[in-house]
Amino acid sequence: MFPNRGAIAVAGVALLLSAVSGATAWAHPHVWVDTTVTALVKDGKVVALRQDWSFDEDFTATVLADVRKVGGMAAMAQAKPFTPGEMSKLKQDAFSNLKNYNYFTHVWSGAKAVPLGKEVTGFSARMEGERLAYTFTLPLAAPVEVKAGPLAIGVWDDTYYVDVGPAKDAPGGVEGEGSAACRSRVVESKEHAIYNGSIYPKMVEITC
Amino acid sequence: MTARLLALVLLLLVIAAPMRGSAADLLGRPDSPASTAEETAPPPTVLPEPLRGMVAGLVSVQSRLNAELRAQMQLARRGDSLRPALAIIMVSFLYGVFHAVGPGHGKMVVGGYFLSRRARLMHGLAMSGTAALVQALAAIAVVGVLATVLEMGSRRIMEQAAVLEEISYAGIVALGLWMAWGVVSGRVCCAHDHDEAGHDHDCACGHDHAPPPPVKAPAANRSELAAVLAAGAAVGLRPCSGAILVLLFTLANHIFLIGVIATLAMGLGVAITVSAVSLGALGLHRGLARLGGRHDQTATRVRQAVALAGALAIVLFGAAQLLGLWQGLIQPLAG
Repeated sequence: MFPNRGAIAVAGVALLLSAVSGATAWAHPHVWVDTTVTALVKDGKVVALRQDWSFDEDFTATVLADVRKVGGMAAMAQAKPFTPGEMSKLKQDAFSNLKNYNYFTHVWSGAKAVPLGKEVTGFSARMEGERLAYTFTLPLAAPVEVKAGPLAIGVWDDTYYVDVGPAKDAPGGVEGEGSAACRSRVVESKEHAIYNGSIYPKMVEITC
Repeated sequence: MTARLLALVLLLLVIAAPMRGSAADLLGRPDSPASTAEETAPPPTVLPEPLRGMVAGLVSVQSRLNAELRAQMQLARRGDSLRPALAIIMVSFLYGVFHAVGPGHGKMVVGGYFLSRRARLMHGLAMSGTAALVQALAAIAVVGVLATVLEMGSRRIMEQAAVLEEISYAGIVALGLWMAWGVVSGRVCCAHDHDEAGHDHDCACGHDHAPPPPVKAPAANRSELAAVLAAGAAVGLRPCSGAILVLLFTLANHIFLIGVIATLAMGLGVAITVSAVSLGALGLHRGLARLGGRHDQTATRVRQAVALAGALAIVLFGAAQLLGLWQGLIQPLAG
């Protein structure tokens, strides 16, 4: 029995909280990715983004159990390259589909969204210690002047199933002819809160 | 009642089977997006600040628990066994408590059930406990059978788990319909507060009466308990993605047994959180009923309306989830 109003208020607040938390699905994330994103500059224009992704050990174990028939420690210990068969299964299960989601990549030049190319080049996957790592290059739909304004590059999953963010020790930067004067830093994007507006994702901001 | 419920579930399943939506990849993304996702994404909104900070804080607690889980898994992988095993179980329990605040885990249904009708405390605990236990067992059964016996990969296991999720939502729809039928047919008449002694009703809604407790047909009580347990089972049939992932990780690391124990520990954590919601809803219902306080016909009508609204909300919730899954609007096992 809850005879007094205090108890009712407490119960009401508890319910409200649970309703709010239910609306903002915070039971995620399930996969963690550290990224290093390098803007490739040619003739003073950014043409593509080279991305290195490093997955957490448990996702790695899950993927390995899928693509290599041996699971667990044995698979972890195998630093040998993926065979073509393993590679195609890996792409099918955990990469190719990302083209429907722009490879989680979001780019702005100043305040303007920069359209991205549809197909990546040079995809490779390998083991780095106990972590699965990807490398690929994602072209911009059209080159963007480095001086057009600060270039903000964020790699994140709006649903937060995957927690993607710049690697602490190597968040990324810029390279190529005409990029010598450029500086890069990691910023929190308060304009693009993800996960129903609850998480500020990090992005790399390049100023030339 | 149970037979009718079962028949409804089966019927819904038969309808559902050919409509199954597409599966997701290992990164949790549906294979074929409803449209080019980026262009149609709603404009970004930000939660108002104290709330955003709270949600972000809860996310970070869960992320830290998850990181701890992974670190312990790594230790277990390196051959140290007992300490990491205990830590994995402990962390899983805590993870269950926090994880269950997120979507899924039946808070919506359990909350709706107890908010809209008068029920015993024991029933609140029974439904929450059943939901959590069934959920843990469902995850263990799914991963245990599919991975170890049928040697399926994680991706296909997630696909199969999505079928259980649909059964669960179909069961929730059936539960809501049954509750609504109870109100409409007058079987669940009262949702009353009986303060005066000698107030007597022929009702089957299992209330807690202020003293003196009236003599109630044990059959009615049993049927209410059966309904509560069936509801808990329907809710819990939807496996929790957190539990499945822990099981997959431990399986991949050849410590599946620890994963099973950890999943049960996680279930205990989930039970605590869902119980808190059910008791909150139950208490709120009683408090409001008491504030209302009257016993005339209008008050009875209001209570019936509330009970009906609760039942229909549960139907709507289940149906919306099912439709969302079929249309690919909701990711399977988003929790």
